[in-house]
Amino acid sequence: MNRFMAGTLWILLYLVVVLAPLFLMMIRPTPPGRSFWVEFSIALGFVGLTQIAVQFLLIARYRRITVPYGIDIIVQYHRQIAMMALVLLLAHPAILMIYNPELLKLLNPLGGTWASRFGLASTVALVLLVVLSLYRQQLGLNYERWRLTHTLLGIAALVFAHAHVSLAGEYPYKYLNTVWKQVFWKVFGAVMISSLVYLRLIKPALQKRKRYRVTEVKEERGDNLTLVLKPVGHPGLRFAPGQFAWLKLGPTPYTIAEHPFSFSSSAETQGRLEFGIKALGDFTRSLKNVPVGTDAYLDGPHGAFSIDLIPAAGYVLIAGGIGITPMLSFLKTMADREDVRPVLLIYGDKRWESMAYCEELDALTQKLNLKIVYVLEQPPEGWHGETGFITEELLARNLPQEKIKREFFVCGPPVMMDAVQEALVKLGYPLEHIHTERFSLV
Amino acid sequence: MRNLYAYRATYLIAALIVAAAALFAWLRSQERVVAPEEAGYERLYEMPAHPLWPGSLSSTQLLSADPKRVPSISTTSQRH
Repeated sequence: MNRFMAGTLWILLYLVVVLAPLFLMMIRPTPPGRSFWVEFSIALGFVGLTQIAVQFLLIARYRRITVPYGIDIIVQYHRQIAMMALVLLLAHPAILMIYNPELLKLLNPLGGTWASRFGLASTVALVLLVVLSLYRQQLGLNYERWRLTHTLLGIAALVFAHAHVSLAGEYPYKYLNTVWKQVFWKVFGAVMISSLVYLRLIKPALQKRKRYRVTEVKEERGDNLTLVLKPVGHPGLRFAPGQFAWLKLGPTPYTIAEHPFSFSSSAETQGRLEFGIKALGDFTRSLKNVPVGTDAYLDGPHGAFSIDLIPAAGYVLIAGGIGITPMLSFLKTMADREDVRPVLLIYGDKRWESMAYCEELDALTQKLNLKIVYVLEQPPEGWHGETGFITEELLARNLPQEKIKREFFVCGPPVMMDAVQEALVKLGYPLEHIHTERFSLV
Repeated sequence: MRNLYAYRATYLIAALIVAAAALFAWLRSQERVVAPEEAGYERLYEMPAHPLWPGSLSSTQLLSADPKRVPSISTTSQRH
């Protein structure tokens, strides 16, 4: 089955699962029908809740689910649909209270019922979860603490919401009015939460059997470094150039501290894995002090940003800052494969001193049909290359004129990727040929 | 490009979910969610008196009426 078919099937299955409670509530015996707005608010509550439940499944990194889209798309969807689910879950009581203002008293935890208290607790947990995710950096919450809080609040929101559903509604207006409907509902919630067991217990158990060891920590120019891993007692990992993996460092894989990094090595050298990393946060800044010999565990490969998945007659690679990492993997892999297809690399950074991997890139021009254009925001004296940002004019000056089918890969800061994508479209390159890696997974 | 398609797909999925919720609410509010045999009775209950048949009764009147006062429907008598 190709990726498009698999992707479509997963979306259909997703819709069936999210709408399952609506189908369930239409099976007899059903409570007497009420006004449209009351029924609509109940339906929104149920589908909002199943969307939250399915989130656990989405972020469990099941390869069958992530491969058709790329995990970055799944995470993007996870974020967006969480916002939508929150809106639906807030609309559920809001509509009921507009329809019947007497229900406003349920907002008081002391004045309501246990059903309303659980509903309120679930909503508060969910609002808190979204606020902490949106403003994590502004609130000074580090990644590990955020992740733990995020998981706990997610479980709390789901468990409280299930309690609310079980208790809500008085006879005859009770939707879970048979034993089998209640059992179905509880099993559904339990299956979704059990995805966490897979992610936090089963996956680490599998990773424990495939241990890696840090063999080198190379400091690169700027605040960049290359972390080199070698497999211990197994052949290593096969990946496509441009993909990434979650990295855990330390004696055990049963830790919540893991971070995603792109492979910067060739996909042809399975037994030596390299990651290009820029010191941007607490964890990445601490990496230069990681002793050689430290154990490492990988969850991967993930991602769909790869020349192997998008064949073409030639490539244009546009990188900003540490966005060079997947490009480096493309080029090293092409060199190992003796690939003769033409490649243009446009690589921008602030200063020449902060531009990582220039020597390696220059060496690759000897092995590949590769042209490199460096763009410096703050060029040194005597610089004759391109300066400023990667603009439409700069692209027009440098892009190849030959009319062959080229694919564009863009990776860097989000502002730069947006600007480059817009410029390429203005220059007449179809959006279908422009591929970006939005690596902001947190 | 993948991100753009994903955004569109997300909005489409969200719209489908809200539309399905609205359809469910409409069906429930119309009390259309009934078993087939009950649906038959519901239609009978709602049947009005026949406008072209003088003295005919609506389904509600028919159910509550004294059986002796209900006009007999005899096709043979109409022939005479």
